[in-house]
Amino acid sequence: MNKYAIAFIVIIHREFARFITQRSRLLSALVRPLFWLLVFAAGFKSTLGIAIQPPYITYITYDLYVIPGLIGMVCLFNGMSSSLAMVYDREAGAMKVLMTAPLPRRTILIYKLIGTSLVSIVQVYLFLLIAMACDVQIPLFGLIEALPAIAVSAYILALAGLILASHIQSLENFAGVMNFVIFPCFFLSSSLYPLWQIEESSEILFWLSSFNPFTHLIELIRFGLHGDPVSIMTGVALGLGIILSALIHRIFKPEI
Amino acid sequence: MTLTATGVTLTTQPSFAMHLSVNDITHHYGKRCALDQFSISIPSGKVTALLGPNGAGKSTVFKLLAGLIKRQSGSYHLDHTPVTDEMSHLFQKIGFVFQEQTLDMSRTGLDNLHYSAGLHGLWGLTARDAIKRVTTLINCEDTLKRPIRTMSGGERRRIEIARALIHQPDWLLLDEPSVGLDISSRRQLSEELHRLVQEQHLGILWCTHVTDELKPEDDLVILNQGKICFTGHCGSPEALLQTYYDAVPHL
Repeated sequence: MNKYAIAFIVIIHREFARFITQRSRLLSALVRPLFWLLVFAAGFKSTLGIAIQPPYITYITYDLYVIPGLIGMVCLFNGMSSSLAMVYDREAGAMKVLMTAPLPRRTILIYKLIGTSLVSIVQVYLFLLIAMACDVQIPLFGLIEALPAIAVSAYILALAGLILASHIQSLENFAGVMNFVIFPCFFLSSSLYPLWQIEESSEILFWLSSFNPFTHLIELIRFGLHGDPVSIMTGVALGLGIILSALIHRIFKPEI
Repeated sequence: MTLTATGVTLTTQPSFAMHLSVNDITHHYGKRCALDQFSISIPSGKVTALLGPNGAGKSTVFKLLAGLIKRQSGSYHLDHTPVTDEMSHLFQKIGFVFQEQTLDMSRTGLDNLHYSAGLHGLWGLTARDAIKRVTTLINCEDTLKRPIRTMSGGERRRIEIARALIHQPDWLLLDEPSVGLDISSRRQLSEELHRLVQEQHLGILWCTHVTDELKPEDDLVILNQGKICFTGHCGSPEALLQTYYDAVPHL
């Protein structure tokens, strides 16, 4: 086996080993979106239906509407907790081991991003299985058709986490990420309400949500789940991921 | 001992010694100059000690060689071949032991060694052989199956050194490897590393504050305020201290 393949396997293995051994991370990765689905969305289900709009061809219930947003939430939190782990690794020194491996740094970082994305995908499908068991009517083929969109979204959000990690000086600063990155990303998007409903209540919020890249990733997943697996947006998101990956070794600073 | 202003190590080397050279490196953190025209040549088969007070620039040398900070000027040569900014082939020849512990605390010593072996392209039987070789060399076979967090400082250091040797590097770069170790562990570590130099013909750059870890025949470079102020041999412990105090003005 060549050295790139071996390095790929050990980096991915470490990402998964870390995820599995941190049981609280595994648990919170599932509990968080399920809480939104089974408590928040259940409350709105009877009062809030979603009018027919693409990609839906019929009137849908609210719990089905929020599924793409919650998938995005899983990827977003995993991307950010991976960046938290990276900040920890840098403080603890473990990052130095990775950075002094005899491979191009760009390759190492891309392997790490793929590892984070794979962990996100596993979490997403575990969440979807539980959601289906809770009687949310997710189209079966949609689970497969949405995979490219979920994979691209998970990769881009892992990339965002890595870029953040390279600018965070210590673990103490990470609380700011929750307030200034995760919450605005999630709430100023089409995760919980369609954009036209946001526009009706506030023009400013509508524009902020429209320009939020997270909104576009959510819509990508939504269209993937409901029969449009490879839209132009998937290509755009993939292109963005490739360009950022090519520059990643310049963006990422192993030392602050 | 030979005092030079250029920072070139003047020692008698076997004719087959290879050299890892750092030439004319100047590095600034903002306006502060951490290294000023720093040059050093680390031969294989020798220990080169890098001494200096806190803030002298020793860690900057390590960070530069590990590619953790970007080189601002100067060059590196691996046995007369220039090293480009893409330093991955340099890392195939060098093993690093950093000042702080860099092991994955939640995993066992064996897991940590397997991880590092994989990063260096070693897999399956080759990786197992490499792990057996280094753990025998460093005498740490007994602790391998324990999680790192249950090990003592000395045991962790041994795992780190074993890890740095797993890909059979020609040079070992040690940044204060004995920090936190008791006297007997420190002495044992020093003996083992000097034995490795003899048996494996390793070149070691040993950054330390503890002069009793060094042997009289080791090469010595003293760094102060980013500049080399002495090169030569360590000599006896008393002579080494005297050399240090002569080279580094102190209160």
